[in-house]
Amino acid sequence: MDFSIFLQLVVNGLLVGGVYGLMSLGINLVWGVMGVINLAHGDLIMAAGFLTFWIFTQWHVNPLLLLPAGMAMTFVVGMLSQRFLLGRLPQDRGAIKSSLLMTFGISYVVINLAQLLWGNEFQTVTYLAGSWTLGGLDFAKARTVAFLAAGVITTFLWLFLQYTNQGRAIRAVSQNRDGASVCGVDNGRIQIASFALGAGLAGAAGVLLVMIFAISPSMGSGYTIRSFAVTVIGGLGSFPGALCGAMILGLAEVFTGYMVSAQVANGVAFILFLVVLLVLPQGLSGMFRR
Amino acid sequence: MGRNVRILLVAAVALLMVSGSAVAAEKKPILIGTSVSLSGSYAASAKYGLEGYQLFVEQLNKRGGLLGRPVKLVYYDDRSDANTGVQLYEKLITADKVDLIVGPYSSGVTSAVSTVAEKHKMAMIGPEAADAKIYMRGYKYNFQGQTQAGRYMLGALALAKAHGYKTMAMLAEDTAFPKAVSEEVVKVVPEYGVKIVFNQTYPKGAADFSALLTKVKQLNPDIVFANSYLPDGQGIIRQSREQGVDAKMFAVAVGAAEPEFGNLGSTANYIFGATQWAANMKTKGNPEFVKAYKAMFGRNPDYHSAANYGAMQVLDAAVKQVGSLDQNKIAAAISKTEMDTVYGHFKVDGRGVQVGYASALLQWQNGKQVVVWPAAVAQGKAILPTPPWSQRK
Repeated sequence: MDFSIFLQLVVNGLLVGGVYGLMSLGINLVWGVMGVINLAHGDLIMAAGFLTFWIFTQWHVNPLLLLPAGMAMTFVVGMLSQRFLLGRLPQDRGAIKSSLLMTFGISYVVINLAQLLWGNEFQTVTYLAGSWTLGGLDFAKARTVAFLAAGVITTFLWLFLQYTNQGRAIRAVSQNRDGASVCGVDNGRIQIASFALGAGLAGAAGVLLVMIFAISPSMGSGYTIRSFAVTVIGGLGSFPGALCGAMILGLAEVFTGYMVSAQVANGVAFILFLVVLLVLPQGLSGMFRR
Repeated sequence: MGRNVRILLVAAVALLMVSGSAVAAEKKPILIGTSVSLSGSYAASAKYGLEGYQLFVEQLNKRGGLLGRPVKLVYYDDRSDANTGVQLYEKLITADKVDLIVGPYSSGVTSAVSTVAEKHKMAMIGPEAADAKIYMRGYKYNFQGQTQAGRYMLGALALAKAHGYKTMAMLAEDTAFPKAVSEEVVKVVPEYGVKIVFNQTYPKGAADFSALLTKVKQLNPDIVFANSYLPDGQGIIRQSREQGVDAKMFAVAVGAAEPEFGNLGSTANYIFGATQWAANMKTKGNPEFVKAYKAMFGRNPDYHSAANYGAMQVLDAAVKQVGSLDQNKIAAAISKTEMDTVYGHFKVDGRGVQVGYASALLQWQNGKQVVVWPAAVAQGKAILPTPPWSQRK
């Protein structure tokens, strides 16, 4: 392989990986704090994407300016879902199963609402066509902007979790729910905040995603699976692990697409998933801890 | 007083019910069943097709229906999925007991449901199945109502030959129709002096084509063919720009014929697309069809609308000729039918393969679709070569 081609593939893989990273942070947070796997995660990504598409085509608003709108919408959906649906499930032995079923149900509601509101067709937002050339490499404009925006949002999230009281409380609950509760952390409120925050991050990813790829109401599950795979690869609850996992998935998809075929690239998330479960059950972050 | 009123009301309702059922017994509607890809990746094109069916049924009822009975279209969403299509046609035939069936959208779904039609001995015209292989399996009740896949890219190939383009990269979705187009192109390229340097498929629903296009860019072909539907066609063109794939000619099989392709903005310009029909073509009844369609749906028909409308025209003529709903006779009548529909000259060979319908080619020029081939229906001249992406706004 030509070295410049190699570099180009690395660029393409990292750019997509950045958005995968942002996608997976939401599912990672919710899973880490609440032990809930949010099956509606990809559908929230889709919903925010459609909101962006809709406002963009109606009023030609710059999609980046719609990041707060997309995040706010999914944040509210997440908050209400936790407050009125997930929060009411009995916290007994079957809690994981019933929360899976509940988020599966939410996923269906979101898909069908999106179909009602925006139709069933694939849609794209044509914002920033073409690419910038730097040192002989093509940086697709939309992908680069999405990557940078994802980086900024990820940094803010990290700062929030690291340095604010609310963030510390979230981390405390994810480490030890009972311990946090003894120290005066309101468990119920933290759960609502985490789920809403996770959903909000899905919204941000959706706004960025629609700038790059076509979206349709039924595409959510593919992104739920990718986010889930990234979380497994990177390691649950690990920030750097998740980002590494996302980059690895992005690179793996691009390189298998180039060297093998697009069909294999489509399934590479599953392959990585299996390999990591067999070799590194704790994900990449487990490797550092050992 | 109140009581009297109530009795009167009950009497009125009873009367209405009796008279209603009397009418129904007299004129039970003829049910025409189909599945439509209302969701999934074929939804945009399939919706145009459905509207073609709906317009014909509406007009048919205004003319007094079929065999003196009103006609009703029964349809369900197959989600662009062949297995769902099979289940729905089973349901339409066995549970809904439809009298006639017409085909779904796409070769993939039609190929699957053609087995159901054959099993139940129901005549079916597939107006959206371009893959001729579906009709080479010795079936007796299935007829192709769409231009053969092999003809889709002939216009683009003719232009390529005229401009002396030599090398081609081809990408195709790995489902029935796009693969059939690729196979047919591979067969005929030697006649056009074109060599295929890249020929790969991608899975349905793929969104990221950057890896494939990186390879294409390396090979630097004169021509890029995307044998695609709408969302993937848009994705390939848009990402060709991002990856700086500077071919002299880009052509897509399905997608560019859709007005929605224009959502790409300036990126859509210079792109060629196969179309099997255009509003200005002088097919029989075409201007009236376009006008009625616009009035009913508030938008222009695309070629899928016309193909489905044409299929209904043929079915209607066959049933009228037979004078009953006898499926064997209807199938025999369709196989012998040669008629001018809004879509063109309908004629199938002994296997059911469409040999009458032809293909045309359009190009996006300044945000508008312009038919550029064949000369007989061209609205303008093809602009070639496509300027490099870096020189475009």
